[in-house]
Amino acid sequence: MTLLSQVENPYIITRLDADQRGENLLECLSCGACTSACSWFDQEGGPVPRLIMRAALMGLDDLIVQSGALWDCLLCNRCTQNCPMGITMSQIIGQGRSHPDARDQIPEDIQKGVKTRLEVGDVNGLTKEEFVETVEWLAEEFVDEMDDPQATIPYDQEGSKFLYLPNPRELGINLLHLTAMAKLFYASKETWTLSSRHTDVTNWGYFINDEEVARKMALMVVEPAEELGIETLVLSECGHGYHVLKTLTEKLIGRKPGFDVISIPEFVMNYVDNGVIKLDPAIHPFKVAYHDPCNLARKSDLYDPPRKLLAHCCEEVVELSPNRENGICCGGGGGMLQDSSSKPKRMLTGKAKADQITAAGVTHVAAPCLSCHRQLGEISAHFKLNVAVDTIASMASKCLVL
Amino acid sequence: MATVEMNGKTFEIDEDGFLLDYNSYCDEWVEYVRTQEGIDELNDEHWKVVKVLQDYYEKNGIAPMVRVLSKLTKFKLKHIYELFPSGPGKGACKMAGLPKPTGCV
Repeated sequence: MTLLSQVENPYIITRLDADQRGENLLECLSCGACTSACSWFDQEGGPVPRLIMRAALMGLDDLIVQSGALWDCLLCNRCTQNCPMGITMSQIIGQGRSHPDARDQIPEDIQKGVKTRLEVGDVNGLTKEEFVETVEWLAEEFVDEMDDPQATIPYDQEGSKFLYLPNPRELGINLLHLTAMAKLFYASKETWTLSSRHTDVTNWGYFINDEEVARKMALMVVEPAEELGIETLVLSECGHGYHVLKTLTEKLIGRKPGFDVISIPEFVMNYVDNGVIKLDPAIHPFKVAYHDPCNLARKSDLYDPPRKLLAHCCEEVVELSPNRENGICCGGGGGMLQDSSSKPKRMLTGKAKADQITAAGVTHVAAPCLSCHRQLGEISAHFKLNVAVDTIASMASKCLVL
Repeated sequence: MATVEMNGKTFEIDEDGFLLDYNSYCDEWVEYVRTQEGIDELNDEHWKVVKVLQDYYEKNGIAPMVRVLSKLTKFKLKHIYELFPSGPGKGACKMAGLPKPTGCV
């Protein structure tokens, strides 16, 4: 066996970061608790967390790079939650993904998305002109829908209190979701705006673990937001987008951004609490299971506001078991959902979630992340779960009493 | 490769159920997607959306943005969802035989 001392310049272990608790790899007890917590556990051919830990520790980068584990891993950190020493798997896999020998493993869609985002400003390639035309068109329909000539979907309004940062889907294929979010801002009676200079909550620099790319993408959000002079940036329901902007940005850009960052369910919950937004739970007269997106829950400590909001939007919130910090990934995390060739794989990684939903005996599931939302819908169809899937903010929008 | 059959014709589809070869689009394909989408009966408005998508795709090699689809058909966004419950991408584009949209979808 090759030992660390015999391997020349091991890449992964020397790059692990003390801030993110990746540095404690040497504390690995080799117990295998990580492996038993993995969504791939019952599936053939998936990554074996314990093997990855040991290989990284011994400097056997090649073994990890060639194992296929780097892009099969969902970065959900459930293994980390289970680890008695708290070794952070997403750090190890992240460093593996940025290994020079692993660059050609980056899924084609992710490579393309990163390039497009850096060049155009939106991962789907939406240009500023297209953004303006789309938003102005939606705003016209919004006036009719709200039956209020003052109703608006504003953009580039300096000095607004809130800036909403959409998910690219909301400006592409799922425009109705953007209109639903506009209704929530309308109901809050606050000043808000979109920005034509940054339209995209995603940061795929995180998926490829390229700090320079992640830093550029974070600045593409931070600088225009500061120039608009907003107080609070409200993020679309996006797991990794929230994780990066809420918990990693200060480190990435080397300073605190000049505004607060919250997710849209938190924003709505604040205005439910102060009595401005009123919701009618009878709109959804059924029980709804809450799904914890890994990036929001385990990785960013956001557990209660979306649950509290969901409780105002339906008959009863059902907890999946296990949940919160022990919750199970939807099966599409870590960039897997963003790779359009990954469907067969995602129906393996989604099995544990599907079983959990079946055991809960519900007809509806809701998640505050549009990626989880899509994956949950696909596993519902694949495993014939017959559950309807929605996002928390979208359910809140349907419950508005105006 | 997965295949589906409808009224004696066989179609190759991708993992999300989109037609792999645009040229194999035909009435039987439309019938297949209609049943999948749970649409009772196709009317002139459904056909208008399908034709507009196909004309645009044949000229430009990509599907139009939803705003452009709305402009060309003169249908409001909500109405497009009334016609195709899965929406313009997963419903209408699929029926028109266009490939699956990629990117952050």
